[in-house]
Amino acid sequence: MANFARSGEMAFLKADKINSEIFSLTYGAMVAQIMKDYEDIEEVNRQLDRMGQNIGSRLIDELFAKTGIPVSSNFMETAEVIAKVGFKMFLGITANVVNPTPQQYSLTFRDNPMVDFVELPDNCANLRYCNLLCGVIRGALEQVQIKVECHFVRDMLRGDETNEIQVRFLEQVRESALDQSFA
Amino acid sequence: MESRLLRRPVGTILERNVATKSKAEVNLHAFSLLFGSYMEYTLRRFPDQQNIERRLDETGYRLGPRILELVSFRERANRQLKIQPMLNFISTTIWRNLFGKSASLLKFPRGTWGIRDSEPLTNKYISPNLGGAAFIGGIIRGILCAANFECTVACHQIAPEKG
Repeated sequence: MANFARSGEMAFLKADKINSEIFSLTYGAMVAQIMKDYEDIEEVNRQLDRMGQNIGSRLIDELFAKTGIPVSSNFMETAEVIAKVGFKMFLGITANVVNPTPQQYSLTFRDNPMVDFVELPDNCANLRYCNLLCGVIRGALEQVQIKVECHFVRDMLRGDETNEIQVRFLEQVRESALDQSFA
Repeated sequence: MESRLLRRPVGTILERNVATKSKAEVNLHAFSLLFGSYMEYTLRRFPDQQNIERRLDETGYRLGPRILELVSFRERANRQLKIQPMLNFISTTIWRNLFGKSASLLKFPRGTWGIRDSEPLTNKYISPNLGGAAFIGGIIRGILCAANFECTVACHQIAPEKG
């Protein structure tokens, strides 16, 4: 466990970094632009998720390459890797794993560099601003042949105490099925 | 308004101190991946290349006024009324705040100026041919418009470079 935390820390230290404010401002502008493209908030959530999935499928390569963690297709193990390595390495924060069971676990975190300066207006009550993160997790796990369902159950932007992403195991993908997902 | 305030738990936006720059950092790859994915989204929705630059410019434009306000407040800068000091402010103070380095300001004939950054953030891990720098162009345009300077901004690549 401590091992994962250390790998994440090292990878983050070694990486080129930028100030988190430009990151969150940029993300905010993107979300605003997507909101303008689609009037329907549910569709915006879907688009953010899709963008995330695309990121996730690339990010995982880098995660394994930079940290040297062995690739594992064990669902329970992925929790620690995402929380301690993934979050740390890319966003500089760590998440906590809550209630891990073989079927699902939750990731909670309070600091979030994506939401500096963000306040949701009342007409965006259904917007899941950080839905991108769910997509990232889903996309990344897909690359190690794990299909999951992922969504925000608590969101600080909507007045909750903390952010909580719930990850639920769906199935282990066989190699042959994997080819299809690339088609 | 009041109900809104009451609903908020501790530690949220209103309690944040914006006067000092936050020390938090994120991995540059995270930014590049996000940016790349946004470009892909844009290409999927508006398939031709001309559009992508316009859209990135538009997205960057949204940042301009916010950045201008934030940086002016932090640096206690006076409002600039002339174009040269304004551009100077952008290429040094704002650039440093955003990207941690300064850019060089170039003067061209007929009231044209250039800001040269040899390694723009958006092109670091993304092919510069896709015109990602238009995003930064948009930021500049946003800042200038917010400061009441009418302008057009174009991005040019001269070898690996943008202006």
